[in-house]
Amino acid sequence: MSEPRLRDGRSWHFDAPIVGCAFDGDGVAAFALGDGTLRTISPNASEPHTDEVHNGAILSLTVHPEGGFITGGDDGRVVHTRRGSPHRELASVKGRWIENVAASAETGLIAYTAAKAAIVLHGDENTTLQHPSTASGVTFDPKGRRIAVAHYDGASLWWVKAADQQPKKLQWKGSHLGVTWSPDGRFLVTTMQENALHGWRLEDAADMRMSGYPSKVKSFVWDRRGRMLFTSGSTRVIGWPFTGRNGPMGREPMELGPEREAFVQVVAAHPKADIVAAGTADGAVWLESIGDPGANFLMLDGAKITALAFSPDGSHLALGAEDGYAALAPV
Amino acid sequence: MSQVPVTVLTGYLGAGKTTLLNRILTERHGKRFAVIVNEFGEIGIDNDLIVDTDEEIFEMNNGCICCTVRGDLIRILGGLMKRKDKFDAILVETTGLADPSPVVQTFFVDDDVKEKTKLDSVTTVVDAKHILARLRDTREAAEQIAFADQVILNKTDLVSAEELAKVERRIRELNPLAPIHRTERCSIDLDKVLGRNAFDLSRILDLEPNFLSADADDHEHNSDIASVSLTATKPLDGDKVTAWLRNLLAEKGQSILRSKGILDIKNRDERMAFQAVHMVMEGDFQRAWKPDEKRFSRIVFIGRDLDEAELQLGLAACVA
Repeated sequence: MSEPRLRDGRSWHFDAPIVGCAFDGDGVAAFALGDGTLRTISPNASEPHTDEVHNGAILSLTVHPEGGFITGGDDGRVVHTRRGSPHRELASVKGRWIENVAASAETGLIAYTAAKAAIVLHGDENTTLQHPSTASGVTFDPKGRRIAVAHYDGASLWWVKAADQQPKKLQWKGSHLGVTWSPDGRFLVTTMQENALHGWRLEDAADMRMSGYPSKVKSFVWDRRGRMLFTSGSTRVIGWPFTGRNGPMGREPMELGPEREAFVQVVAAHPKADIVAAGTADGAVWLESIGDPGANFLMLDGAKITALAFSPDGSHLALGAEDGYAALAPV
Repeated sequence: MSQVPVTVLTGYLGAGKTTLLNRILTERHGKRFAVIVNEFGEIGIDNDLIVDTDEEIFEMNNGCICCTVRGDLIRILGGLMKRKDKFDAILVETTGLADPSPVVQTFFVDDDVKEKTKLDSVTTVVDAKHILARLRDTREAAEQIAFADQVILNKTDLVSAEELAKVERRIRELNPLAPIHRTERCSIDLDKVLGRNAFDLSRILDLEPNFLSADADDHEHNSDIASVSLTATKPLDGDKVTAWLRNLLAEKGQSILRSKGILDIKNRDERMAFQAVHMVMEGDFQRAWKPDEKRFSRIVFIGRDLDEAELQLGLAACVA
């Protein structure tokens, strides 16, 4: 493996894999690491600040609706870390890994998964939602009133506040891993153990099978208007159209970016422009404008890229790799 | 990046898996292990990571009807690889009642698991005192032995020499390839258990199955698992034998638990080695035949209801 070549920007080499990265509303960038630390960089700071948050690896990261970051770890804890205030433990589950955290900017609610349960936190109270198998993905709907949980043989939809409810079950054979709700609220899409996505049109639970990938899909993101879902899993970025009543059914996906040998591992969508970013297994990071082919490489030649995130104003891209390399690149 | 070796420990309830794990973890070896167990038993060793899990068997929609994987294992191995501290080895303990196929197939089917880890061996702990009874009244006990790359025959101090010989004969019937290590209280050198490379094609040991005497205790058991050992002294046609194996495993892979072979292919200086777990097969030309080595093909199938005559005919048809 050769040394990463970053075209422009600042980089660090931490000594644990980068598990995820994100920007909060204040423009603070965070890198979550496999040694349990969260490294945060304020817009004007030169060096990252280190918070030792988990005893073990961080497994999940998302932005806290009030600012700062929520992390889940293999120590069974869910923690809120915000610069200038002490870490706050939001939950702790003995002997379980917290592999997913989610938050709704609309309602301020936070959810996480622990084994077969998804737990929604409401201030000091919480709602525990049980599933027949491991809850392997969780997401809120765009309004923050429902959550969707991916598991074996489908996904379950729950209201976040109703007591004694039965979930609406969306069924499809196989192991469903990640889950995302379309920004218009009409579709739910999961990544699967097979090299495919599965989707449902929620008004009638119609199935949508999105297959043909040469490898497992591990990353997906909606474009800023919610019209297209970009995914990893191939040598280029695959984009499925979600306009019209039928979404991607009967339509060909769009392929974006350069045709390279290494698979795309992670994707991100620019918040202000029609630009998609991708990170690959051989350490390349590129941007491409939708409808204007021609990739703009921000980086080449590093370890497998594991994390990407645009800043809220779209001026920077944070990227992280499996060998602990992390960078902030101007877009 | 090197792959972390994974040892799968199977064995019936009470056979001594936990004792073996505790021995491995407490020995002064200077190695770091991660241990994946199903319930926290009496394991509680510092400096090693113990992960508790519920076995989740998932079917794969890949057109292979018997292809099941351990979904929990895929997640846990992925999570372990995110940690800063790397492991010298990972041990997976299965429940006493587990069919070993899903855990083994996980290492052949999932690309992420394959990239970061490799299956080192399936090690089955057998209780010398109770195994014959378990073989009579359960299906899993025979499967666990049939799947083994090595058998740790434990509690040998609790049976007579005659009983022990009978147990070993029975194990040989189910699995003629796996070495048997006799132990008391699972006392065994760590080096014998770990680092076997049992799934590395280039390390497939010369197959010398212990052919069985015909007078084995057939009335003793009701298990239908048995092994068939085939040989061919004339060189084989590479395309024919590959096609035959592929079709055989596609059709009968559900009942063939494991297969291994070393093949003498016409016009090739290298030996071809292959192995399969149910329908999932891998094979390749491996090393050159040595000048003093007898060139011939041998294959061992372990499975249910195997028709030896038919298999022998199938192999004979592949002679070049």
